[in-house]
Amino acid sequence: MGLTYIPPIDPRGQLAPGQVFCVNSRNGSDSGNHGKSWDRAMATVDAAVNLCTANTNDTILVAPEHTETITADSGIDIDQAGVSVIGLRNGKTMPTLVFQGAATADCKLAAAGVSIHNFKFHSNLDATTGVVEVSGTDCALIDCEYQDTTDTATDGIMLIDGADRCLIDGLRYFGGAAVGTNAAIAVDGADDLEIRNSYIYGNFAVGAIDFRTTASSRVNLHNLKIWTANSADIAVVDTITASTGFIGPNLQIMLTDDAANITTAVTGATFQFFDPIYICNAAGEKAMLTNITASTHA
Amino acid sequence: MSWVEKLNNMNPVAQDVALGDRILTASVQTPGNAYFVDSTNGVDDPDFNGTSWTEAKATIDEAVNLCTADNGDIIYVAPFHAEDLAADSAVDIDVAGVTIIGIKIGRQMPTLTATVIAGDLKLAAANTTIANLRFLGGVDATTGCIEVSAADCTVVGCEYRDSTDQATDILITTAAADRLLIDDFRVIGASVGGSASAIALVGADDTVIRNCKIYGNFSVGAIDFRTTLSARVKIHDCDIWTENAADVAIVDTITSSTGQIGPRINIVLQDDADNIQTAVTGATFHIVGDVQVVNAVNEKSIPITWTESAEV
Repeated sequence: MGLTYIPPIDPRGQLAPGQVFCVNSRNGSDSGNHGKSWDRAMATVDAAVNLCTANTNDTILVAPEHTETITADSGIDIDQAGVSVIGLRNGKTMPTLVFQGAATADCKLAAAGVSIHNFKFHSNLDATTGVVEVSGTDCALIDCEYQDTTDTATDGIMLIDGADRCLIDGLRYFGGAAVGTNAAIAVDGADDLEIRNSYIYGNFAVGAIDFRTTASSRVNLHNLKIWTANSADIAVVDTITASTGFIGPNLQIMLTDDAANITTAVTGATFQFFDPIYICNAAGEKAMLTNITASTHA
Repeated sequence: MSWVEKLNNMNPVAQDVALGDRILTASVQTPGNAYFVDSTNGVDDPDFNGTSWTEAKATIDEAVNLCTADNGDIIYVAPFHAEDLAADSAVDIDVAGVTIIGIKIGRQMPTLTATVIAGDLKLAAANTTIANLRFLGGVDATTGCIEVSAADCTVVGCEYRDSTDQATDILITTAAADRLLIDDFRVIGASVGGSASAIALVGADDTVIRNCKIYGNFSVGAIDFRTTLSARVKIHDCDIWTENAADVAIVDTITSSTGQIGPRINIVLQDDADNIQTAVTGATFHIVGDVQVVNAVNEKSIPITWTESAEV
């Protein structure tokens, strides 16, 4: 993308309007601390969210070594509009959320304009049903990482109907090689969604990115590497049908079976496609461009 | 680079940022004065001098009035700031060299809503810039909620969305808007008819439009060169999708505009018809590099079918 003028550290050293809260599981506490310095940090992200005020640009900074176990639905509920939860990152060290104890354990982006940056999500239980759930409009998931650490998730990230204009940028998704997963990203009616600059690996019985339940309009998927180890051999699929949008350019897809699956690697009769969309379906081969029918001047 | 990336790249300083007490003390050197706008906590009153968030002004125009021309002044706008464009020139950036920066984190950024047809923000002085502002069309048939009427202006990282009916035009220029840069502009127009164009350029020589994503139902064209020809324009790295049966993404209505169209332009048209060639219409443009067009669902794009140059 183009130039980005985002200097929230203004000349007086203020980050921006709004409060800043700190979270650090190593030495923070949710009892008695105000969260406004690292010395008095909160221990959990949800406790810090509860200190925030909607639409005041409150920001939560999370220490790189922060580790938090999420055991329930809405274990973290970012339900204050406009709150940003930012993991501080040193190389590959970034805050880690471990989901276990219940298949429904998740972190919710449940208000408009919230964002989460630089987090690792570890699914530490079989058949989790979306450890990240986005239901607010204009939310963003930036430079985060997902990993199946125990068995395989059923779905990795869920976008609920109404999560319009969501941005997923820089996601690295390391799913399990074994079967058990439907989709890395399941999208239920998220209009104007953009997914870009991401790498997705797993064994996806439905598709790495699955548009389901409610059609999504004008989606934009580009600059993605997707590798599915499932014999369904599908990277992107519009299960619900009637979803629309740009697919491509710069998609690189790896399939499992050396079969007649190039055309259906992206399945959606109402999508439109922009090359290069490269697909490779066998080791020792190089990719070919998708063989979806090309438009004609007629 | 976002501030998050900056923080990440500040190692070993990042250690202090993360673990010390200097989290709010990092600074960026800028010339000129800095002013602050916050519709929630600010006040347009002389007692509020606009020089800090706690003394913020409530409207952008009030902050512009504090600026000095060609002084490198910057106006920062809170991400939750909301302001109506309730009149022509509701925000008039008429002080040369002023930069207005919306604080953007994730998808949250300041919002300006056009509430009358002529309601607009004007870049009316040379070298002015707006960045990271979201515009909403709050009434039907707005006639350009962003108007550029001076040279060397920049619109970067901004977004427009039809929230009520649809705009007639969204970003318009006068013939004085030479060397305009439109970068990373996202338009989410309405799917129904009513719009003429997203960007209407009137004699804006040397304009650059890049990294834009434009969707709507444009009866003329998503980008329309009209009234006065524009010379030496460059349009590249854009996605354009029109739902209108005119099936035109870029058009030189006035004729004789010149410039480079492409590379890396992806166009979606409405009708499965003989419209690939005319998706970009302008007999004096040059197509350079990859300009792809798709005109039916479940099809992939093909290169635009303009005549190729030949070594003659």
